[in-house]
Parts: sequence; structure tokens; C-alpha cells
Amino acid sequence: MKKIAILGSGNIGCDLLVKCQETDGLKIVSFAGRHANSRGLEFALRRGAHITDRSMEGVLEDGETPDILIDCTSAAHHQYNYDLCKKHGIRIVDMTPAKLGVSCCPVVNLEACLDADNINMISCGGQAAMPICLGIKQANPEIEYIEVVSTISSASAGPGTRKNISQYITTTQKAIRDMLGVASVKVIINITPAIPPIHMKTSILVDTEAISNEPETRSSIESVAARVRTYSPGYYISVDLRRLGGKTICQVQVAGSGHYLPAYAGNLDIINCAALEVIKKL
Amino acid sequence: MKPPLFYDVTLRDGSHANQHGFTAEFCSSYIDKAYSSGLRYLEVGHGNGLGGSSLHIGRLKDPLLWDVVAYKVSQYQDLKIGVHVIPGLATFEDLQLASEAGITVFRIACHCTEADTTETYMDYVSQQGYEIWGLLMMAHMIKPDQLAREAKKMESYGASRIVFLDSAGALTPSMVERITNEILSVVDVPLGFHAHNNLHAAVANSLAAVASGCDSIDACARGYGAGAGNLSLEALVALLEKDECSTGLDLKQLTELSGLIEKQFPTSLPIVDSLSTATGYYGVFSGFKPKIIEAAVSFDVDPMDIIASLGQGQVIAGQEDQIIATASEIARERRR
Repeated sequence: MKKIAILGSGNIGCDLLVKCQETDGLKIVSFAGRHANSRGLEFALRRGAHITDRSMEGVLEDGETPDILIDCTSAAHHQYNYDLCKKHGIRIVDMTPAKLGVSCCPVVNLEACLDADNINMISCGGQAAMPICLGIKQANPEIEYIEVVSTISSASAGPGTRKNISQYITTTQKAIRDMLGVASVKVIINITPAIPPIHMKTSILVDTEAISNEPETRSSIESVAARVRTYSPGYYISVDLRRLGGKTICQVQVAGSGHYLPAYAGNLDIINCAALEVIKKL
Repeated sequence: MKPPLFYDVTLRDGSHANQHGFTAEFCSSYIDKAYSSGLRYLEVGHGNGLGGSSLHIGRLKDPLLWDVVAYKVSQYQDLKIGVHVIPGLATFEDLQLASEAGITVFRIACHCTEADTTETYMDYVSQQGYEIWGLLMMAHMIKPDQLAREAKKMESYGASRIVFLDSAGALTPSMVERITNEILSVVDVPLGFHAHNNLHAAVANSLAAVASGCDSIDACARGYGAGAGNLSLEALVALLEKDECSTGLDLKQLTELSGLIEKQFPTSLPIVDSLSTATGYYGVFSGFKPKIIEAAVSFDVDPMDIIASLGQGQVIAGQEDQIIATASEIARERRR
């Protein structure tokens, strides 16, 4: 049994709690927040988890020491948590955009991350876009510029997400640039209050002239997307690769699995599914 | 009536009209003329502000605009040049670059329900001592009391002024008055209004804003801005002057400023056409217009159907990709 602690009682933490509890071979040893009466801690208590309202200190002092800590706090708190984990020999899976550890997207570099003591899950937009970017890059190795536009629903964007927008952009840009070897990457994020809440949408745009073979690019994208569906079943292509003058666009949507938030929260789901995929292999 | 502060957004909102194609040279001569007309607040940049240059929205043609800013603020000591900042497009890095170029007014903007996305950006700027305005875009999409709550949040993050934007030109004068009253009843900082002309109401709405207590007005020479255009700066000044409200601006020079735009951009001057009326009625972001036409042609669908569907789906500024997805969906439905 791998012993898991979840730090951070927001949307990401609660959804991961459900996912971990439903996965064989994982045991939640603590679920930590910092406000005794938070909705997240109440939720975890109802689901039978050992809870603490003393954040990292609570994880280390109140419960069984975990093998793996999933940090669902925010970029600003991650360094502190990482330092403590290092001291206690706990591996860390980082859900914040702090980018201190090795960046991981399962379809790109899962195996290469398994020895790291800190694995960064980039961002929801990164997890949604990277597979399509990989598909495009494989068919067009010379590509130099990729743009990623994600739109998520207000209802799925908690306070952490809203405070980390600038870090989200720079982390996602850097990860795509470095992991796929694309010289220049631009990332944009929108938060929309539309009712009913939309599924997360991510568009990938490239210069039309950078696509040498459209059918080949399309099938390369489709094959990577099929691999993503093995761990994130709600991942689908909503606009097939399409040329509009100088730009070419492809859009994916992610329907969440509805573990904690409803299906619209595909942004939560894709990053959490990716993290779970990593944790299973650690 | 007390004259409002005029904030000239021509060199930013006008970027939507010419596909972000202002040259440094044009900006330089525009700023000179605007300054001698008496304007002291101008905005420069990509139509969607810092970080807006992209395939998604359109690329900024002339990256030398920053050099113009740096030069003009050193030339005119009391001139303030501002930027539009949407968290999600812009990053802290962009804020830093803008401040190094001499920008002193940061207008941190968000969709009207998402004020809390502006907090960290306002923090970042306030540490450097700049003027911070809080902008609520697409203000027609929520009720005045909700808008007031979001304005209050921006005030608490350090905004020294709130501006509500009728980004789709969808408001009426009575709505503008209600919103103004509602926001002013909860915030202590001054309030401004930004009009679009989709339903020919930019002038009427701006007059209503001033009459009900807004003390700053965003405007463009020749109304040169996104979609059907913005408020025509010279038209409002003329109306106010006729009513013996002295704006302190030189109307003759303002009309010459408007002429400068007409001469330079004869093919992209805003007009109120059938598509503008539809976007105003359905509350669809003004800046979408060229992309709606592009997608309608590419997928061979009716632009009116795209507009109705975008309105129904409550699509907001920044979701340009959704225009393509919507056109694609309409084409797919038709094949079934």
C-alpha cells in the first residue's frame, strides 16, 4: 500500500481524495487544510479520511507519515512544503504552478519522471494542451510557435486558481517549450461564468505555414488523444484541425468524471487524472 | 454639469478596427495632436491590451509602440499613458515591461463577474506606486447590484477608480444610470464608463453616465474602436460644450484628430451595420466582428446564426476560438 497525504482542501484536493480512495493500492493517511470548518475538510471527514487543519505540520505530526504528498495549495506555499518533505524523505507531487520539480505530462514523459523527488503536474491547461501539441510536433518537427487558449468555467476556478494566473501562464508556457522543444509558446486563459458551466475547452493554434501535412498531423493528434483517454476518459477533440487563413486551430474539450465537482470541471479532472496516473506508477 | 475626465482609448481599442496595425510613427503623430487638443490620458497597445498579441486574437504589427511611449512620456511631463491589462492574457512580466516603458496607468480588466482574478495583478502594480484602475468588462451581462459587488472587490484590492465597460454596446441609457447609481452607492472611489456603439447608443449612454455621476469617460477619436466603434470623443465634447459644460478640450483640434484617423484608415472606419445591431442586441463582444465574418465564410454559415448562438452561450471577450467552434457546430448540425 502506498501511503498518500493530500495537502490543500480546495477543489483539487477534494477531487483527488475521491480518486485516490477509489484506486487500489493507495491509502490516504491524511487530508490537510488550514481552516477547521472548511467545506473541504468536512467533505474529507465524511469520506472517512484522517483530517488535520494544521497544513503541513499536521501531516507530519498528527498522522501516519506518507510516502507521497500531493501538494494542492498554491505556488507561493509550495517551496515551504517541498523543503519539509525533502527533510522527511517524502516524495511530492505538485499540483501548483510552482515549477520547482520535474514537469510531467503522462503521454510525454511519465517514465522519465518516476525517479524525481518532486514531480510538477504543470497546470490543467498544460495537461489538456500538451497531448495535442505533441501530436502536432511529431508530425511537424520543425514547428517553432504554438499557442494554447484554455477556457474554464468560473464554478471550477477556486481561489487558488484565481491568485495564480500569471504563474499558471509562465509555468505552462515553459513546460510546453522545454518538454516538446518548441522555441516559442504563448498561453492564454479565460474564466467564464456562463450558465450552465461549460466543459473545459482548450484550443491549440499554430501558423498554417508550419503544418507541412494536414492529414498526417490530424492522425498524429488523434493517436495521442486516444492515449490520453486511457487515463482521462472525458478528453475529446471538439474542433478537428482546421485552417483559417494564416492560422490553423484544433480544439479539445474535457468533460470531468464528476467525482467531486460536476462534469463541467474538466480542468480539475485532467490534471488530477494525470497526477493519479503518476502516483500509480511511483 | 461637471465635465468628465476624458480617457482616450483610440490607440488601443482602435487596434481592433485595423487588426492591431497601428504603426509607431502614426501613434507618435496621434499623441502629439491629442496632447495639443488638451487630452492628458491616452491608452496604447493591442486591442486586448498587454499580452493580447496572438494568433488567437491577432498579432500586433509594430512592436516598436513601446519606444513611442517612452519617448512621449519624457517629452510631455503631464501626459499619462495607460495600458489595458487582462489577467489571463497578460503576465507579471508584461506589467514589468510596460512599467519600464513609462506606463503609469494600469487598467486591470476582467470579465464583470471575475474581479478576484485582478487582485494579484493590482498588488503587483501597486507595489511600484502606479495608478490602478479596475475595469469590469461586458457589464451588460449581470445585474447592477452584482456589478457593484465586483466593483467593491476591486476597490478593496487598491483600484483608485472603477470603470464599467459596455463591451458589446448592449446597454441603454436607463441601464447605465442604474448601474452608475448602484456602483456609486457602494464604492468610495470615482467611477468611469466605456461605451460601444453597436446600437447607436454610445453618445446617449455616455451622456447618461455623466449625468448620473460618472466622472470619467472613455472615448475614441472618430469613435475608432472595436466593432461598431466606441464613443466619438469629439461628438460628446461638442454636445457638452453646447450645454455650456466646459471640457477644457480644444474642439477644433479634436475634429482634426478625428480627421487624422479618417485619412489614415479610410477602409476600417466603424459603422453601425446589421451585424453590429445583432451583436448589440445579443450582447456579443464588439471585437468579435471580423472573426465572426471570417468563420462564417470558412464554414459557409450565416453570421447571424453565429451571433445568436454566441449570445445564447454567453460567450465572453477572449473566447475568440469559440467563434470557430460555434461555426463548426452550426455546420455540423446542418449536415445531420
